[in-house]
Amino acid sequence: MAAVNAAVVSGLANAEVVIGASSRARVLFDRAYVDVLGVASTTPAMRMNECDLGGLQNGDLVAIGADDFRVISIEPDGAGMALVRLEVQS
Amino acid sequence: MPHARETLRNAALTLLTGLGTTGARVYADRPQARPLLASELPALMVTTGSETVEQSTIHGPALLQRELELQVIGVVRALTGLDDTLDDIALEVETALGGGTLSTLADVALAAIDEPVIDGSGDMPVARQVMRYRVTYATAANVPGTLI
Repeated sequence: MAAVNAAVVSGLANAEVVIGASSRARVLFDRAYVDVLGVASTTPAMRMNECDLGGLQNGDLVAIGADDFRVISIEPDGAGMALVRLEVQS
Repeated sequence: MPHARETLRNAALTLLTGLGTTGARVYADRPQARPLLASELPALMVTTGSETVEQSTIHGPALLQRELELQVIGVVRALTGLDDTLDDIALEVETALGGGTLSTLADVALAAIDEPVIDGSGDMPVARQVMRYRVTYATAANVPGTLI
């Protein structure tokens, strides 16, 4: 499974996340539109290999491109990948 | 001539425009029209809801005593302090409408404030709170655009 996950990330990753000072990982980043209480919003999230999480925890700050995000949940899929939901910081 | 409801809604819009927190971001009939953008927040939405009408004269054209619900909805988007901002908005709205009249012929009174609704499912938490006002006025049955 680890090889499959690595192949998925290698083939489909569309962004690089910076975790902490310098740790980097390739992720599948998505930011779909959503209507929240009548306000236009998005649902930023990244799928990544669990082994790339390192010590990432809820509340940590990460950067993707020029945008900073706070981790609001880390949801392992039970097969070696994790969905990390994010909150914008500005 | 617009219906008295429109006249009263516009009077409320005028009173609620330029408040400290929401400024010029005051919108009518917006909840279902299209989503607000982040750049349009914090905002107030002003809508009129249900209305009860009671005929107070026997012969026509009847005098209609009306009671209209005016909804003032505060909407905020922020990482922190959502409740505080909603309370700031409530303070400003209550002060603005606290004179008790929308015009010389229409009284307005705060009837209820709903529990704030907070949703963190998007990229930043959003909260909204509905303030319900009761507007009482009268019209002739055949001239619904003129307050009497």
